[in-house]
Amino acid sequence: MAKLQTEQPVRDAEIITLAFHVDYWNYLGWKDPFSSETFSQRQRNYVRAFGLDGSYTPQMVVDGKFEFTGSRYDTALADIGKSVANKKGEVSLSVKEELLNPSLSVKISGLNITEDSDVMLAIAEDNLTTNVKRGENGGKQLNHISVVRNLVSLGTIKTGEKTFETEKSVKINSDWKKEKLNFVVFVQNKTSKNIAAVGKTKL
Amino acid sequence: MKKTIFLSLFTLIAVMACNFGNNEVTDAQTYQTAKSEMLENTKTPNNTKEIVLVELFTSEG
Repeated sequence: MAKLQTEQPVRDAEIITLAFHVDYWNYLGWKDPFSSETFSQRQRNYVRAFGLDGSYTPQMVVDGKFEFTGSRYDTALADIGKSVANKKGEVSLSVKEELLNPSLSVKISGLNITEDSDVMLAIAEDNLTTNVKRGENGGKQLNHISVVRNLVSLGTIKTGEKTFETEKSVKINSDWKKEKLNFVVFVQNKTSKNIAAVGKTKL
Repeated sequence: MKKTIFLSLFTLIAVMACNFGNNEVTDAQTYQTAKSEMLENTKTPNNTKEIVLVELFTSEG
């Protein structure tokens, strides 16, 4: 995934990546410090939408439309290429530094949604490193990018609505490195799970 | 004498008129060039690319 983010290998596509660390492997002896039940639930929603037998890792999902084993780079390139035809709305983001927490202003336009949709904010951090002590990756030092620290709902959009606007105070935990954070806002259809708009900004 | 002055005046007016016309063309060309450059500058790569969201579900353990 790091290669997709840093090299941007698909012409006509600007790739935004998010890594959701799931918590259902934590019982094996190593608790993933970035894992969350919320992210495991998000994956289960995809399992249902794609009609799969169950969750697995690593799993990659492109635009909420295509899923495959996360290590299959060629499949990723092909599906990202196909997703370029999926014309989305425009997301305009700006962040204002406040005394306690930054304020995120969100403006979405040009939507063409045929079902009710969620507007979500993912706060993701780059350049994280951990020394895994136990489990399948025990003894390894792992580097991560786009690690989702928090996923929150910004609201919903009804079928046929073309625009959305909101302002949100964003809570930043003290152990997150502000300069490494990305704010990713996306619109996702509630049932099909297709992504209808996506945008990113930094502090 | 009068004829010479008339001819000189005529020539001067004709030259000025030609220059005025040329300036108009030059200004119009400059404007078009500047406008094209401005449009080119605002056409950043991100505007021409479709944004694609790639999610990875993973675990360290």
